[in-house]
Amino acid sequence: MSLRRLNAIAIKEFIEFGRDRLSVALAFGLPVFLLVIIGYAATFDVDHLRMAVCDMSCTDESRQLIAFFEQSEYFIPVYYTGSYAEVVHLIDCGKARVGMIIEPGYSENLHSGKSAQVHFLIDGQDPVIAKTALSTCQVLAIARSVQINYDRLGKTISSGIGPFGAAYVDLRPQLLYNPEGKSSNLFIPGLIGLILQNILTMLTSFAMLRETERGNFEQLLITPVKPLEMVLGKLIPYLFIGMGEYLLVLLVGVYWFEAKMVGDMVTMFVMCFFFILGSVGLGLLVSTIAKTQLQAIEIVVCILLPSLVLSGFVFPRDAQPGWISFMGSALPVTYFIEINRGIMVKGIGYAELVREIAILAAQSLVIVLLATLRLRKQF
Amino acid sequence: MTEVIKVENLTLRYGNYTAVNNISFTVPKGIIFGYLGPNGSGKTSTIRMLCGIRPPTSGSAYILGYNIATHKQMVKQNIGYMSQKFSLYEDLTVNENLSFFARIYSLSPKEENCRKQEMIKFGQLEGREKVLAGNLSGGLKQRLALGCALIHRPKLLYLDEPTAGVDPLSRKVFWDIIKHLTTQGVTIFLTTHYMDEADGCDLLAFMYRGNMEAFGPPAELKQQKDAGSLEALFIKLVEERERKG
Repeated sequence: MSLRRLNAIAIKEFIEFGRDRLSVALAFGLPVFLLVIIGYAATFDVDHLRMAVCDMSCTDESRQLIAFFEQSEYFIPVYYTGSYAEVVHLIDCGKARVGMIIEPGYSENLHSGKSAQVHFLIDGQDPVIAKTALSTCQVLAIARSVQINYDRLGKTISSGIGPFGAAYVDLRPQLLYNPEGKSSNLFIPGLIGLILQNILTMLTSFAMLRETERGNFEQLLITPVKPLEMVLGKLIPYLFIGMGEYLLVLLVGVYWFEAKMVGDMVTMFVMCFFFILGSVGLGLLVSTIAKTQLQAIEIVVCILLPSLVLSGFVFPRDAQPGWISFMGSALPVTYFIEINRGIMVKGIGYAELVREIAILAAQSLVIVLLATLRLRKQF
Repeated sequence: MTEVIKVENLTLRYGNYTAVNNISFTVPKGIIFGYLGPNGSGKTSTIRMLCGIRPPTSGSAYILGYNIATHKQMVKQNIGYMSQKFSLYEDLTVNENLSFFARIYSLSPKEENCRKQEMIKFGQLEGREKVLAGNLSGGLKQRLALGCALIHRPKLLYLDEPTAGVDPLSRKVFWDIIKHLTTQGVTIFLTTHYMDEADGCDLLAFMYRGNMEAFGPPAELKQQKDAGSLEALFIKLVEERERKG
């Protein structure tokens, strides 16, 4: 063994590593980035859930109940509506995670020492959120009941009159959409998004870089082919491949893993077109940054890891701090997962998802536009 | 119009670096024009400009009368290009490669079929129509690449070191084909490092550090500088230039 030879190899390796900016970024940048975002994003402690309230009692007592829930900091009343249906609608379109409906006789029932009914609706699509909300609302209802009875007891003793018997808040929680709390219902729609995004991005960037690596691209530059023809010619086949792939994983998810599918498959297909467009566009964009197919894999990994953490696939986005969830909203897969879950688990359609679809479509078009502009430079 | 290529004061700069420095020349129809020079002398940069891929920093050039800066599409439609890499789609068959390029050049289905037959005959690829391009031997790959570059009947054909890494026999066959093409009125723009090939050209240009150091028929050039061979001539030219600084 020659130290000089060993030295030569080791030094050469350091030089090569240092010259490959992508490797340096992967080795030092990505770990820090991932640690920071995962550190903040990886939490199952769900609080500050948005709550829609329908207070049909409109009394001091009902307002106290709402305030009591708000003080817990688990539920934040953000919408006040007039009907049960509206509460359900707000949960449907994802504006609220839970809903509280206070019956008209709430106050009178409490005064007469009876049980006062409160309906509590919980969005069940995310079992983590649902379980936390379920146990928290029950604890809060019991705590409130104890408080009310304690107050009443005090009044009764001081005045010496009044009905005895326990008044209590009869809170009836109800899980919407996913009453079994099956996690496959949550994970399958999300998994479909992650699989599609990464495979399609990889496939498309490979297809582009294969041409560059083999000199085919150079040859095409000499021909009358225009950048837009090139982009569309690449996009269209992979759009079809992507739709086929989508159908395949969807069928496996629904029939093999028995994920819930209450919505309309056709609706889903139409909506997911934009996501597939965005993923294929992302592949084109990656191919304009990477020089080789190997580099493309590295970049796809750099996109995959944050997607896992930020998209709401594993960690509920409700639990993440604002800036983390803002980063998540930059990813098309975040909206795709929301749309996919909405249709598969909740069975909602265009009307409720219009905002998500619009954002997803805009993101995809921006990605394709960026890719076209960057590709144009190479012509 | 007999001038296929007309170049006037063509210059290309990348920042401070001058790749091509104020060159002017014309090439008539139906000849083999050899564009020579060491690596990095500005050959590829010139080709890229004359193909309409790279706009020149200053000066102008006309290919078949079309300005390379303003009529890029017309330039591209009328030229063919083949490089040493052959740039075939190795996972497509002979037939599919020819079809692809026929369609890229907007040939009608009828023309496509007719020209494909022509090119298969021309490249002696009969019976191999359904073979993947990747499975062809070097010489056959080269002839298929040439077929793809000629399928739209370009009037000007760029050959960028077309015989680099090809065996001597295939090189000979290739040159016979090229010479035959010129009899049909096709003009050939060729770069090569082989001096015997340079000797076979009708017209030569010698590039060095972005400047055109010599231009003319091989015999004339040798006579001018009193050099026995092209090799000796080029060494002389380089030394002269180095002395001037």
